[in-house]
Amino acid sequence: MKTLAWCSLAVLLVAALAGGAALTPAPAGAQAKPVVWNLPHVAAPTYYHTINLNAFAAKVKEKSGGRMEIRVHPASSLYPGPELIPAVVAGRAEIAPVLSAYLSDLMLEMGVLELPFMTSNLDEHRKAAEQMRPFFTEAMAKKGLKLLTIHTWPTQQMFSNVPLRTLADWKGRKLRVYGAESADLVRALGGAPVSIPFGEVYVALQRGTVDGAMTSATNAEPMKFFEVSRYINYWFLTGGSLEWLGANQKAWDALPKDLQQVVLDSLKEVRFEDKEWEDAKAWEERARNRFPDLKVTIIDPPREEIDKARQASRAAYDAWLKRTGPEGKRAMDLALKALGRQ
Amino acid sequence: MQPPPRPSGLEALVVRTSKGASLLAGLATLAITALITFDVLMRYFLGEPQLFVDELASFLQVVVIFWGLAYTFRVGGHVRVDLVTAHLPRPLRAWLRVFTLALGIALLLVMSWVTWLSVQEVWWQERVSVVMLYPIWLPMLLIPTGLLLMALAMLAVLLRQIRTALGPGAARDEVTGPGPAG
Repeated sequence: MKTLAWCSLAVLLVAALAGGAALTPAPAGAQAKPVVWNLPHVAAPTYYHTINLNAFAAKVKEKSGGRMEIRVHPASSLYPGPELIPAVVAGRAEIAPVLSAYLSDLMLEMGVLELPFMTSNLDEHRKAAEQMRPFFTEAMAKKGLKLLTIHTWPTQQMFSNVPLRTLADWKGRKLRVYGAESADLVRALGGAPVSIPFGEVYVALQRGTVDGAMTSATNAEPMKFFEVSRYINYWFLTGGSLEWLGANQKAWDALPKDLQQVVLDSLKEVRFEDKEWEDAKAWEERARNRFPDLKVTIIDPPREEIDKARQASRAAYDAWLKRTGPEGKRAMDLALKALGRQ
Repeated sequence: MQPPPRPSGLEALVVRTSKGASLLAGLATLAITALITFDVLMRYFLGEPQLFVDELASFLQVVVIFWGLAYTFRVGGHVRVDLVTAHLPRPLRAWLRVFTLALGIALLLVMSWVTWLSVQEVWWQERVSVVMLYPIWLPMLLIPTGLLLMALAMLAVLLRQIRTALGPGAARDEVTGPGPAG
């Protein structure tokens, strides 16, 4: 009896280790495995980036007749935000967004339009980004990436528990930042930067660890910031926050020519790029309209105060130019030209 | 009662390095506590948050976890499930331990290699931390070194376990405890 029990256990163990494969017959007429690309992202499953990426993935599957599958992994479920760029550069992810918010080391010069007050709205941001497309294509190619699309996150604003109407109101305020550039900006405007991961911003605002948090106004409802923040201050710290959809060049080259075309055609057919820019704008407008219902007071600082802030933020430009060297200088010249300031 | 034998060779190396690494891990715990306290006090009373603390504390946490691995293993501090092994005959238990130690070492070597590749990648890419721009190869290097030290500690026990399994019948059992003068 004891021997029988041991034998049964051994059989079960072997079956479990084999993943049950030995016990399952192979399907008759099995098709060739589809090409699978993984696409990690930080956005929530209900955010417009994820919705549009899912539409793109569905189109690729449809147009390739199931030969290619793009698996979208939202909400940092595959890689945390700062690891997205290294993952696609190293080929661990075949396709991924390059977020300007995470350009802390690789391709830093691509974040020129996200310098504080460089642009003041999404239209201006898009116009400049379009003109800089050759520069972005080249910068990504140097890191082994193929640029597919340029799109955006909404403008960057400031949630707070105190109104920030003037530049003087920033003085000494503890404000959440998410990177070296945003820290330089807050410092330049007189505030005290506090680095807090996105997921902890709610609690930091609730407990008063920070007086305010820099992020997009569209996060008010998904992240429930309206529950812990009394003001939304429309300083337009950046007129957008670019995201470049890039494919690892080696993964791209390994793709059959017809599937490469399927990827490009699918992006066009779902109007991916246009849809992203339209959604950024629509979501931003919707968020602004919702604030009165959410009992969040909208603060629109006077034009002259924003101009003062723009002047004060020059120190952040200098720090950025020092870090990025000649490529940064080139990017700055191109950006100023694209914006008609040179 | 005889005093425990003095360690020699690999065992001595493991004793010394794991103790040294665990001492640093302990100091890192202390440093994290001090840094966070400093940050909270500066932020709360003087309104001056210390931006470097968050990233530095994260790096120190890597020391705590990975450089403490080998010593924790030596003193039997890791979680072990002996629900089944406790009921096995002693000689079988001794050989099962040889097998699991060998498997554990193989796994640690794979993990060390993969994490070493990651260190190389961030070194070539000159990657820095998001806010303070600290080079991140340094804290990442702590991971494969800690894993390798743990593998060495397991290797020392594996050798002892093989000697015991092949030794006199009455003594054939799992080796436990920190070993010679551990």
